[in-house]
Amino acid sequence: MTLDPATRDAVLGSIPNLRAFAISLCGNVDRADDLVQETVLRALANIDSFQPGTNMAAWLFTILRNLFRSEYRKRRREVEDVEGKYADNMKSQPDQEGRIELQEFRAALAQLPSDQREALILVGASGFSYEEAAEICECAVGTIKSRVSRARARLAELLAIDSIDDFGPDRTTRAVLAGGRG
Amino acid sequence: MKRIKPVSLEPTMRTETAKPKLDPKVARDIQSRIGQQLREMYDDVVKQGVPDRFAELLRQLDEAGKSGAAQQPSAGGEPASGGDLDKKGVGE
Repeated sequence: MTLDPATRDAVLGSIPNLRAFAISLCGNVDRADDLVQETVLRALANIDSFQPGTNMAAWLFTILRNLFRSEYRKRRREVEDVEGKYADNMKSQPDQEGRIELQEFRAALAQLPSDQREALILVGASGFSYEEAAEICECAVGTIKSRVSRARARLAELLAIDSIDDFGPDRTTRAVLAGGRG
Repeated sequence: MKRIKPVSLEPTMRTETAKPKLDPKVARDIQSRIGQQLREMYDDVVKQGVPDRFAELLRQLDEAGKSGAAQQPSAGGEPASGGDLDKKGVGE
């Protein structure tokens, strides 16, 4: 099997997005890169099962997600530990320094159940349609929609609480605004 | 005509929701910020492009392909679990 240049380019082109998704799944850059590498190897070894003309990125995301989930089952305890440290790991990325708002966002994101987090990221950041996300997560479109909407509602709650706290002296005003004039 | 009683309308609406609702404008602001920050976080990684290890991996796969299929795990069954490619690819 020689590596067809078009396939190679398509795989290469998907790597930045695969990494971003992988990091969002495992919260750890090194493990995410291993996961992406495994994904690439598995994809190329099974390239015959890819249907030309269909969405290569969605296919690769599906492989990556399945690999992550089987790894998760194998190393449940360890991965739970990683989940717990998710926000800390994210904070240690050098170019995130000084971006407090984004750090708060990561911390809030880390509190979501993983199925909601992955749905939100696929739709809100990776740019997949609900249908594509449903295909990647192997569930119904309605399930993706409800996960995304629950994720958004929960994040709003978490971030609203944060911003009210941040406003400090102004919090009474904010509370009145938020709660109506009672 | 005299059905509308603006004073009592609002409290009635408020009691319908179990917990205090965000002001709709605040809620919209928060949602658009969520979208922004989500993409910002994601794009921070995307902007890093393709790290060397992946470019190198694909280059090696390319060469392995050209120099003959002997080294390929062409049995195909469980490629990700290891095999020759794995050893060659991980150049940590």
